[in-house]
Amino acid sequence: MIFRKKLRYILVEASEEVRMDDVRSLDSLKEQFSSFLGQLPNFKANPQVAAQLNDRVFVVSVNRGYERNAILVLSFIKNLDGKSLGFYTLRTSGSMRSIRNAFRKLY
Amino acid sequence: MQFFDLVAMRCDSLEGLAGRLGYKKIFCAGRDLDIVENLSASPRRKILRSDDFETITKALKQNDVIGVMPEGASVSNKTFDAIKNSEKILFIAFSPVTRAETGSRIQKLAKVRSLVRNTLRSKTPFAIITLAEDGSEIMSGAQMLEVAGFFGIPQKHAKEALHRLGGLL
Repeated sequence: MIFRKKLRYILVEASEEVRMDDVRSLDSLKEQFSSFLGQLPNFKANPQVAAQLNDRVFVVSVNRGYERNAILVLSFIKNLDGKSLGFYTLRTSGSMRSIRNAFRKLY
Repeated sequence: MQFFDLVAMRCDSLEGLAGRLGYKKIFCAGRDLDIVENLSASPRRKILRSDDFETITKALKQNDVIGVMPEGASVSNKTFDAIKNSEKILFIAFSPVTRAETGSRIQKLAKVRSLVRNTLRSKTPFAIITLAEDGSEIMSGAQMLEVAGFFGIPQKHAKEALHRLGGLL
């Protein structure tokens, strides 16, 4: 039997401009996820930035079952790489296609 | 069910944002209502921010006061009863907890959790709001539901609490 990892995608808007392809911002986000969730749950959730859709909006992917924890953690993150900002979670979905559709409808 | 929020910041850029965040409307303190610490003559509707039982009971008799927001996190049973009997509501703000620095966060989390437990136990009607002071403190409807769940508010009660403000303004 082949184990298939299923992901949930969260559409996230930042209150300020943020580039998640910048290594320092990405590391800071991962570090804060690990800090809030704890190392083992963070390893299980495996949060990753799946795509950057514009200068404030990006997509976070987590393993299925951990999306609620990820939304909670994103509520508590108030700075990234020394810059003060907040994150708003807009949609959660099981496929990247529906996240992109939601993004097109919202913006 | 439609959700509403209340913030304490400049509200110029909130029109488009409210829809994206899953709110019907985001109300602004200072524009749609006032948050006062004692009973002042103000033309707008008010939320009283106080821990003093005498001030709260006086305020609850006034028609333009829509509810009470505890300044600390401890609310006496007498206050819960007074709010419940007057058909006003208790406001619980989440952004002071989410914006707290690491050192004081645990203390603030414990205080809000205690307030939530006592509110649910006394069956006092309550509304949850962000009361954000800048853009970084605003949270979407989904985030509010998750934070409410984290504090032990059942999903059904959390949705009602997010909806309640709309019926008052």
